[in-house]
Amino acid sequence: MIKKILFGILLLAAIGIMALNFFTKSESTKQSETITPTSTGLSLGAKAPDFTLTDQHGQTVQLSDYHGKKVILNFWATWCPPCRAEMPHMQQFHENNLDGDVEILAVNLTEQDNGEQAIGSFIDEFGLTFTMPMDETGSVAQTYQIRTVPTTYILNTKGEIAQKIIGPMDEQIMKNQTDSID
Amino acid sequence: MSYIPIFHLTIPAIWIAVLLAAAVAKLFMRFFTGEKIGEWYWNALTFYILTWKLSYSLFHFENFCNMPLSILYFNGGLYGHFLGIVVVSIYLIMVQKKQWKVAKQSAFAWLLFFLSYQAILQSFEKNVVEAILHTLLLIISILAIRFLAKRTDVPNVLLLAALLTLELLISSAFGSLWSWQNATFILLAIVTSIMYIRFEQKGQTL
Repeated sequence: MIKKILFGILLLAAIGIMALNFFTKSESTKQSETITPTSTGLSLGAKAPDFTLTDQHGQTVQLSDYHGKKVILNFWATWCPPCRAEMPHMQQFHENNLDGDVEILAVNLTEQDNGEQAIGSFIDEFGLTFTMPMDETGSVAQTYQIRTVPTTYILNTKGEIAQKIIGPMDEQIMKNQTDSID
Repeated sequence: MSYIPIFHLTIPAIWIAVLLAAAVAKLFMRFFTGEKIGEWYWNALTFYILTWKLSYSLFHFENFCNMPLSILYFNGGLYGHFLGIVVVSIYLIMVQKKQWKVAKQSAFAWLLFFLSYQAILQSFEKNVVEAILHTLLLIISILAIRFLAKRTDVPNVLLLAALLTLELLISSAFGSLWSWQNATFILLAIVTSIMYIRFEQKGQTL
């Protein structure tokens, strides 16, 4: 009797799985959260605070110019070992997404760093080619409440904060994070 | 993917779920089924974590040579995961030849681990309904193992298969069944079930 019941459960569950996977659209039932950002802020779903800085080539960089693209907004310094570990992955991700819709803005905490020469050597050492805005006054780090480096905010195409990650990320995490947002 | 902030790091919820599920499944086996799981359980988990973590040096050799400390922060990713599963499978197959209890316990322990993991992970992800369904199936499984597994008229492999299929049904209802995560669970379910079938064929039951 129990054998028949177990076999029946197994059969029904298997049919259920097939029905769910083949006869319905395999879309996640998780409802996409429709967060309407009411204001700028640092909480998830809020619009990331805008800033204007100068990058390593002397070019002006404004965050709001990147609306329409996903942004990996990273904060780093040369004296931070996890930042050193993370940089080759970030460069690899950048090279693999040159034609994609993801931009890396790696803000250097210039005010707290060891000077222009150290920053230049660091960039050369790892052959970094993505955009690095220099936070010379520390105001952007203050706005984004950076207590630990590396810290990364993942922004969607509307400039809203989709995720905040403290600690180093590898290429796979960057890919997973940017693939999972619009 | 959810993250949990711990001190100055953000840890993916999936890692916490694995560790918590391992501890919870062992407790359930001990208190609800009367089966005290041997050292093989923690050994298998340790082998998996070490392989997965250390394989970073294998799959990112250049980065590792330039910055050996990077192994503290990163892991072998998906390939490291595959390697870890292969190592665990080989370990289980080898160790059960010397310790017959491994064959007896591993299939049930694996099922409870899988269900606990899903219940915990979905709770972290705030998928309330899914978490409740996984938890209900976990309770049903504990009761089934407690009261049915020792009966001679119950084919335990059929019981395990029915519970695993119900679990896959719940997962299917909330997302695609085709993921590396589910493939991993199914593969290990097959390995442990084959071990259990061979154990039963030798005339012993739970």
